[in-house]
Amino acid sequence: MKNLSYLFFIVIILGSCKKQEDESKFEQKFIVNGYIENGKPAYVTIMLNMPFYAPVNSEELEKNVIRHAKVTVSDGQNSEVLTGYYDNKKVPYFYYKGSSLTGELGKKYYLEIVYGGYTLTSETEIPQDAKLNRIWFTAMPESKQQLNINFDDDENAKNYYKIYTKSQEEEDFIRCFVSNHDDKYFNGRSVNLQLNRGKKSNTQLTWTPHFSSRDTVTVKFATMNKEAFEFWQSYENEIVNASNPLMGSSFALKGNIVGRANGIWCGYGVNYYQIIAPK
Amino acid sequence: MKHLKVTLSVIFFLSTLFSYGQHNFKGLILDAKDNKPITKANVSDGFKTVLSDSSGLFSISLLKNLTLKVSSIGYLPLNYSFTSKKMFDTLYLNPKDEQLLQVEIATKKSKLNNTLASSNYFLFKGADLSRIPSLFGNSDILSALKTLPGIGKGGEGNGGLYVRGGSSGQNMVLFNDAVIYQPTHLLGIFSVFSSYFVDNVKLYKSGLPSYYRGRLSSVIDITSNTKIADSLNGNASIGMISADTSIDIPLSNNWSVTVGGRTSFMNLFLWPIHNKTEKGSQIGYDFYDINLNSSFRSGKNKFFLSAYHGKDIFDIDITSAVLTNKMKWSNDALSLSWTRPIDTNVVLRSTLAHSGYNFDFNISQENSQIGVLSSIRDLKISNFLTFFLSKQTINLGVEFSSQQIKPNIPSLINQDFAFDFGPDKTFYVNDFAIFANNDIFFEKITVTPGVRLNFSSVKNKRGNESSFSSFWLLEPSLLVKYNFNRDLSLRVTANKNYQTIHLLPISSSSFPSDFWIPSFNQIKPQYVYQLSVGLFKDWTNFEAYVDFFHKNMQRVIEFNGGIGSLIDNLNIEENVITGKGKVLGVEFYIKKRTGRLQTTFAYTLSKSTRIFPEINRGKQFPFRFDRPHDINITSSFHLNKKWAFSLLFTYASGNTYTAPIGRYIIEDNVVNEYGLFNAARMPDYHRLDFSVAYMFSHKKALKSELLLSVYNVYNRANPIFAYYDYKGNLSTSVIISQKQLALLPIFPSLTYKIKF
Repeated sequence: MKNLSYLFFIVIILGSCKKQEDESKFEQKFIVNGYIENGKPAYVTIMLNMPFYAPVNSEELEKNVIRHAKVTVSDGQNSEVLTGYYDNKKVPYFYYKGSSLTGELGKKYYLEIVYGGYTLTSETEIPQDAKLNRIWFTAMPESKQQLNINFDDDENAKNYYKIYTKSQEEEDFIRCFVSNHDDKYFNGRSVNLQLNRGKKSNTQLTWTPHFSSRDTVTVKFATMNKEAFEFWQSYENEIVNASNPLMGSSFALKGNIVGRANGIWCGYGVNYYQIIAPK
Repeated sequence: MKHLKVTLSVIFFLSTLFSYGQHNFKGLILDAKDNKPITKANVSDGFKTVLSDSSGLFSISLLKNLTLKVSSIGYLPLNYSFTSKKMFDTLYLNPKDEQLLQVEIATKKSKLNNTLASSNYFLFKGADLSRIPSLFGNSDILSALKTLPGIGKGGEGNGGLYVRGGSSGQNMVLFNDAVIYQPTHLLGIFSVFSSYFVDNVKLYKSGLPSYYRGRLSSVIDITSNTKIADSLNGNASIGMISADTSIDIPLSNNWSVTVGGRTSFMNLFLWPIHNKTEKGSQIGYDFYDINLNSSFRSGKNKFFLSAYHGKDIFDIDITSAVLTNKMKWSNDALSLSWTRPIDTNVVLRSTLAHSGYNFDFNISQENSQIGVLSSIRDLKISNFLTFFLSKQTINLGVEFSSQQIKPNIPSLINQDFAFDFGPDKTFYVNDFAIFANNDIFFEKITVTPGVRLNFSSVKNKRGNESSFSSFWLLEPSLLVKYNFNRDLSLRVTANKNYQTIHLLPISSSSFPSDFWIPSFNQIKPQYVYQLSVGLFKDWTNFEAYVDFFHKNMQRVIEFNGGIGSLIDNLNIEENVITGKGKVLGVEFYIKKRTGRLQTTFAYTLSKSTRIFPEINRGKQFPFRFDRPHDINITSSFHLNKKWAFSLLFTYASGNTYTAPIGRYIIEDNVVNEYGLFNAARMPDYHRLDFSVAYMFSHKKALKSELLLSVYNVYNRANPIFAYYDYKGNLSTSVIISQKQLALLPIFPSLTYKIKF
């Protein structure tokens, strides 16, 4: 018994002497969000990521917005250096936008960002667009309106879709709740989708998935390539599941920016539709 | 380790050639009143103890002493002497009267070392449950096992067993021979086993006998009472969240049936209280179990039938997201065993066992629904021969099993539009195994080599497409026990085990989300080498052991995706990554096993790590359920015939998790950037439970008691999940708060139990 207790004691001492190492290190990088649509010039924002214990407020965000980068977009033949603009209503409030070079369906587009000795590059394409056959509302309780769409998937092409909506009082298009779709589940079929409004931000507390009667709603129906789909899928997973104990999330988003960066540069084949919700 | 199997097979074959200077005696133990065989009677020659099997048979090798002490609960002990020429005899035990039996049950509990040191399992008897506080008024066998060394808790709300640094999918839980794929109801407080249907539990953590199909961590073999009931007996209990009942019905002298059922009614009382205070989430949950057992004897043939069905229905509404998560899971088990002596020293046992498991996960928002189903059907036939030879016991057997596994059947419905996922992916697995286990008794040493050869063929079918894979697997094991004297022994076990079915660890919290996938070409069988060295000591009133273990696991799995990946039927295996695992640890156990006050102290010190090429750039990281320290103290005090008290204190290091180290903003959302995998640790887990029972006085046959149990006495908030919550406006300021979800506060409950 005596020997046993000695042994017991020694093992406990050894156990408690173990050194705890924390290898988790925060690494500063650029976060790029850029896109180009058919018929429109490119739009790019650049920010820095923030260490976990930094506060999130307008001052801190201002520090992390990159305002003096050289942002060049090219289609392989023509290129354009984007111009920086301020818009206090947006986050980040500074963005880069083109003017002469507009997107065309089926073409490739290259992005280059040069800033403080770092060069970030990426490429994308604008896939063929897709059209909606029908948009309609179904009445919900409390005079709310549920938005629905119908479209035909092209059986002979691999398609990825992303859907946004915007009502008259909203500044920007907001992703629908479950906004990304892969046609592997409905290849070649005529698809009916119920669109739920997405939350603009995960900092927002209240939100409703429906529109109100008399709302003027614009639907942005976009196609994108596989890379973009994977990025936005991982993004949606993080936004929706990070605080859900049944699901959780712990993976980095699957971006396509080369260099010390994460984020996405994507091309959208886009069509816009407008509808007014019934009384 | 490479030479292990060669060594094992040499020992195995040599053993049959030699004869040692020992006397091997076999016997049959019967009830003197009705000639029924007595199972699990203790037979001791003063040096070692063996138990009689389900036919009342035992075999013991004797050194010098030709006197045996035979004892069993409910019977008067017997001292039996015989001549050295005698090899076999039938021994009769006389039943005790009821009053004596009561005293015995209260004072004499199972002796640990009798089974643990001479074999490689921990025997836990259903009757021992009364020594541990019942949780929410429910005596539960799996919760009781978690108080033993080497069995880690998964944290609050997690029913999984984490044995010696392994995952919850590396245990095989058998209920009367049938595999139970999800042995717990939600939150781990209730296992699927009603205590009225648990008689004996054998827990194997190392040196797995070859008659069990391999698992990397443990085998938990639960059996019901197989005795034929001779009178109408009943049990019932009703508490604040569940009610349980069972009744034994004798149909003839040779045939009896036991039926029982249990149901919770938390949706009536418990959850409405939670839902009123927690506006952010609304929970609903209930479960039920139904059991039927039947024992039948015809001559020397003994039959035992066991049927079980149980189901859980859980839902949680995340109000802020207008989301409803639903989970339902159910187990079915049906088994029939047939035991008969073929000769005076040969017993044949045949079993037929069916298992079924279904898991259904569903998220809905308004009219949209995303879901995934998973199911297993399992059929097993085995034949098992035991030879009680001179100086040794040999077990030989064959087993055939067939499984149908559908790991994930996704569904996505948007309003009336159902997405097309194509035909279900189904695996058809056929396994054939032969096995042999041999106990060889030397003067001071017992050696038990064993070997199992398994052939597994797998057909992976999806619509008209199918592919085949097959595996030959050899699993050797060796147990060597050396007796220094009658109180002190050294036990060494070494084994290699394969596991051909994998539980996908998809959930990042501790909720169960059980999806099983078999081994096939893309996910090869995982395997383990384990070495365990233990020292076992007995005193008059105490017993203790120290057991060191080292495990080297290969091809263990992680799931590289969320549950969303399962809603993609095409290539689920693409999200499965394989790596290595290492576990090193030591278990301490000491128990005061006599007297009115009995106490058990169990401590496990261990380190469980993993290496995956795809995670942390191939660097070693701690296992999610790595528990450097795990302590359990249980104590019970029987004040008198009326009052009994018990308490449990449990402590464990927190789970590891992957914490965010940075964040950024994209499209107005705050996105987390995560640090190294499992680099952060949740707060330590600890909790105190307490029970007090008052036994009422009744006339003869009727017994009843009122039980007050308090779960989590000092109201520790043990978090199961840590996350960050953002509130505010990005263009002004956002409040970030770290949230920890803890489930179970202090919870007193009253239970009334009755037995007749």
